[in-house]
Amino acid sequence: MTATIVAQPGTPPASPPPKPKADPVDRILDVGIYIALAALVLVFSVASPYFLTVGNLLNIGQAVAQTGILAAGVTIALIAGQLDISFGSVIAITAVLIAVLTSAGVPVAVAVLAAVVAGLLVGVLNGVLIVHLNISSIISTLAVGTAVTGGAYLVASGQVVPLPDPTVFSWVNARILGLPVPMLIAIAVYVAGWILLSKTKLGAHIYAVGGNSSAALRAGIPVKRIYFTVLLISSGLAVLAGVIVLGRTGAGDPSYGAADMFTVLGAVLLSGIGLGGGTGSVQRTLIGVLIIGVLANGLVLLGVQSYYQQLLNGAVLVLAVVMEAIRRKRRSR
Amino acid sequence: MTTDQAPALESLLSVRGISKAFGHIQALTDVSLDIAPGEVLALLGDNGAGKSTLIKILSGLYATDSGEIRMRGVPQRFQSPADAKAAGIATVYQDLALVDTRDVAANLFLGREYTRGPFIDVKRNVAESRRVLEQLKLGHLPASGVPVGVMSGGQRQAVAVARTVVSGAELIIMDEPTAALGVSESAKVMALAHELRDSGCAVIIISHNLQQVWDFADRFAVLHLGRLAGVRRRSESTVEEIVQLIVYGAAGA
Ligand SMILES: Nc1ncnc2c1ncn2[C@@H]1O[C@H](COP(=O)(O)OP(=O)(O)OP(=O)(O)O)[C@@H](O)[C@H]1O
Ligand SMILES: [Mg+2]
Repeated sequence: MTATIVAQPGTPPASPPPKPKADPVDRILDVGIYIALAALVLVFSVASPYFLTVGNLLNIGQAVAQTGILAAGVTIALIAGQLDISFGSVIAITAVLIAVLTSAGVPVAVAVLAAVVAGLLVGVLNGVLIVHLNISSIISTLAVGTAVTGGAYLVASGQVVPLPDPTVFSWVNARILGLPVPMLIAIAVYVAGWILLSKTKLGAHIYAVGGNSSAALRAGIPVKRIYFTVLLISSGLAVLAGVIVLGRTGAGDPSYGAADMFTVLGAVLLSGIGLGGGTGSVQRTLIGVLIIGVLANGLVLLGVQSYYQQLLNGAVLVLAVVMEAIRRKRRSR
Repeated sequence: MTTDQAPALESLLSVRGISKAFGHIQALTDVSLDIAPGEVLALLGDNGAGKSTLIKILSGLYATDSGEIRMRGVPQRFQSPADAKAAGIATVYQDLALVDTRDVAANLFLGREYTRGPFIDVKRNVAESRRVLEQLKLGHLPASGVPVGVMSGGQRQAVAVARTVVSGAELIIMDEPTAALGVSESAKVMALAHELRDSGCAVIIISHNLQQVWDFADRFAVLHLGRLAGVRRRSESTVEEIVQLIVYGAAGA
């Protein structure tokens, strides 16, 4: 060290410091999904006169309700930094358990309770692997999900099990004030999710844990409990989705949920939430859900064959992943 | 060589005869030090001199082999960082422990948010954050709406320091706060140390860079090979003398 010191005034000059601003590319990507949704709506309403009718919009609402409910749960867990992909298996075990138990003469209430317990157990199991065994969430929930799906096949003996009395769950297909019940449930879920994340202390802690778990821990936030909480919320919402599928189809099929994987993850990633944790919101996920729902509906209206749709869904997912990669690259400049 | 032997009456923190060994490495030997409220003390020393070890002891991360720590004359036994925090000692580490995706208010009140039942009292958190920022002359920082991750290194450091004020700390320790900062950002962090001092806190700044802290510290404590080589007031010392203490462990060599 040299001993030459340039004498400086005791306090630094009070130049106005630059105000911190969000990255411009981030902001473009932030509004991008709204623009994308608006553009899709515009294109389809020009292409098909039927698209913007009340009947069709309610169709979309009905169709995206299940994806939406699942995506809300995945979003909440992902904000805490946990990617939960076991939701498909929870749908399967829920529907199959209720169908099999009621077929065996178990009262409906008890069967539903058993399904709820089973679904929440999936959340607990995920939590144990992630929190106590320190296994990454994607591996943990993949493993648990695979096992539970296997369990659902076992319980159903690999069969589709019809409900002995489908009228018990026919309320799922009812409309209240003209609105499909699953859509109303989804709306309730999103309002609750919005309040939880943006208004409550638990919500603030979910963001903190996802953003920097060691800082949260040092600040006295019960990090492990928060992980369990979000995983249970995610599993709980998957149980709800399972009951809706059961009511819609009148049967428990162990293959339920498999098809939801990519629409749900596509919707969540499209929201720009990223896999890092600490950011995102159910409002943005809802936009992602709607983009995928509108796309599927519009393509059907235009008579596009279903494998093209599959291709397009894949393209949307790739787009979402690329967007996330761009963001991450810019962040780590 | 130690300075004043009896704990000064007005001292906030008083360390007496602290020693610490890791195996056969004697990291600290018989270190005694006092710091008064409203004082900025720079803790200097070469690599391996024992600076980090000393502040880890003061933050409750390491137990001492021998010696005594008093806060406002009360003997302390720190078993954990929480104990040190409860005694009013807050340490800002280099990683800052900020949640980058959240705004200033969320970070300042992390884990101690104002609430109404299960709900966050956002208005109050933001208002209190503004008050603390103003108090530290950081009013230009947005209390809400901007994630701290997009802020500059110096601004983030400032947020981490402001959080220690929110936590009610009386002694704030900063571990190499300017290590990753440019000249003007460093000067701002040092100015912040002055604001803390003016609000009655005591500040210990660990530094490698005498140049950066010279203008801002009231006193310099120099560690050399685990021993306190000397404590000097800026008004009664020179850069040359401090450098000699850092390099040789003695002045006038
Ligand atoms: N956890 C530990 N285990 C073993 N030895 C340690 C440990 N921590 C510090 N030491 C040793 O104690 C001595 C003092 O280290 P310390 O980190 O306190 O120095 P320092 O002044 O902070 O140095 P630097 O300027 O490089 O950060 C060194 O010899 C170091 O190797
Ligand atoms: Mg060190």
